[in-house]
Amino acid sequence: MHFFSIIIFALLIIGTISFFITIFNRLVLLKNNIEKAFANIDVILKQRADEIPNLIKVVKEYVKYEQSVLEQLTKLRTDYTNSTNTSDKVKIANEMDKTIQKIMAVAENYPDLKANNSFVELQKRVSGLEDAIADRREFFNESVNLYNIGIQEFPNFVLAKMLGYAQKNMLYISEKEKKYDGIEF
Amino acid sequence: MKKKLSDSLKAKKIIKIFSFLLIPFGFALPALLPYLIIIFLFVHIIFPPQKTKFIRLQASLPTSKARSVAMGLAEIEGKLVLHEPLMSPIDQKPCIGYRYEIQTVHREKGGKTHHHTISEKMECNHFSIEDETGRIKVIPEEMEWVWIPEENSVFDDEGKRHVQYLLKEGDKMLIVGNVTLNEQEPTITKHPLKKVFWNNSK
Repeated sequence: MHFFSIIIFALLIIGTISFFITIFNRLVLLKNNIEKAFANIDVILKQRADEIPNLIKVVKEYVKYEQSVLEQLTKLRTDYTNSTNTSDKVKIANEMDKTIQKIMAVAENYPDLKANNSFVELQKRVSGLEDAIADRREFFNESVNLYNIGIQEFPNFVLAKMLGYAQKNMLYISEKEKKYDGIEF
Repeated sequence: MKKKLSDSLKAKKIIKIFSFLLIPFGFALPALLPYLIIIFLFVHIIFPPQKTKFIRLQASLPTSKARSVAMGLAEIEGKLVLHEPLMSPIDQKPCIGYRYEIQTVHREKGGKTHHHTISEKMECNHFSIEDETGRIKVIPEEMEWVWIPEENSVFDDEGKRHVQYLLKEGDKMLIVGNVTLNEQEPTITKHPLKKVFWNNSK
């Protein structure tokens, strides 16, 4: 055997293996980015759910005639905290969204409540959390987009197919979730 | 007798293959090109340059917003906000940080010039990066500058080139690093495991 040709052959083998390791590592990073992004939405949704008891405590002193809405929100919070299924959590979180918006809109009719410092602080916190949720949803969709592109572009798709990496779905707001029923009391 | 013949045939085969491999050396550089390309690709794949590593990671990371950035490895894009100014070494302009290099200059026959860095100094104060949603602090220790353009250069009496790269307030940058809580405030620093902390103007 010839020393020079052995060296070249060894370099080719090592280079090819390293190339595939690089692609594999990139695919793993893209996949884990999605899981992290989704878990990070959950973190903020949990924080928002934790604000709900404080919100109800402040609001119920003023809003005596809308107890059913407050009860609905309490139930949603309990359901969210107890749920382990991701798609159920997303549905419950969307319902919580709408219910919280109802309460905030109702507060407009109660000047004493609007002036209450605790309520104002809560409103700011919840509003900040809503912004963070929107940002993280966008971030999740961007992660999914990068992943879907990553597993389809050449030459990554070869290894992605071998490893069984399939396209993922982005977060969409359904027509039902977009529908606003107005304030119902 | 048979053994001697097979040894002889073997030897001839080895000489033929070896000679075939040595032909490129006889024809100098153009014939060496395939071997050099293989060696270059090998080195590039095993030991990619900093810019390549940056591009690969940046292409895989989605961009976070300052107000909702999660802890861990993150990429943020925005404008730089000055906290305490430094003075740039060449023209004494206020800046967030600078990299100052002294280079020797080699001119080739074709008119091309090559610069070789013989001395380098870097200094950077803490700063913030701001996007449309908020601001996040950056602690720039061990930060690597990728594609930061030259700000100014001068030649000294010995023909050496002094060049500065600046980070200035308002510069639009992309930072890849590790987000942690520092005194209850999100802060970007160097990632402890991936050892990444890049600042790029592109």
